[in-house]
Amino acid sequence: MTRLPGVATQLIGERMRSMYASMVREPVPDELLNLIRQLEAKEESE
Amino acid sequence: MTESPSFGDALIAAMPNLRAFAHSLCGDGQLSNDLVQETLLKAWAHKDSFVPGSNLKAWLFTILRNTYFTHYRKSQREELDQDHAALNASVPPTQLTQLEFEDMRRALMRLSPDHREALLLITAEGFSYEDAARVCGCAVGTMKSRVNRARSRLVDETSGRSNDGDVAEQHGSESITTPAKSSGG
Repeated sequence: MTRLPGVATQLIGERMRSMYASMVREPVPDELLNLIRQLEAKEESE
Repeated sequence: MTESPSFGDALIAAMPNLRAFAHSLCGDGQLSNDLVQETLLKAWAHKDSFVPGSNLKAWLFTILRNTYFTHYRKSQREELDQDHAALNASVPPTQLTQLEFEDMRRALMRLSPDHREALLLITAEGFSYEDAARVCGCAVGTMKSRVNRARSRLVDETSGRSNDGDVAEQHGSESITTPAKSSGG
């Protein structure tokens, strides 16, 4: 397999990380947060 | 002395990364939330099998990717509308320009699922090759090869040198691992 130039690998990495970071910063829906709290409450009540 | 976080708190802390990984894998905002929800329910149901002190994130990502590939295999007969998936992203770009963001997302979605998850785990999530291989249930050498091929493919895609013969590569013969105890942190 052809080895990519370092600059290409670096550019791809930077763009990937930037795109991914913006997704990580997206607010988590309340439904998912509430799911955990409901599971905890259910466990405590048992 | 501070109290250690509960299992639920740890799951909540992992949610942003789980959602980003799920969204990047499937390219669909609603489906990614469904995948994360299913992952959380499975993790909760099997939390006794998690070894405290081991790598919770790797354990959760293993469950998530297995859940995704189960879904992917079921829907494999349906043609994935990659353009729709790419445009369906609900996340506004902040560091990249809109065009760069869309280009990267489209190129990512044109990778095979195996290559996409390899690149996401190593490049975006910062997993070690060993942990990423454990998550995907493959050898470390296989993981390195997938990352190299994915990077090469992305360079071709984003520079307009795409080869559709390679794009058609699909997730296929390799076994999908079941969620397992993760070692190392």
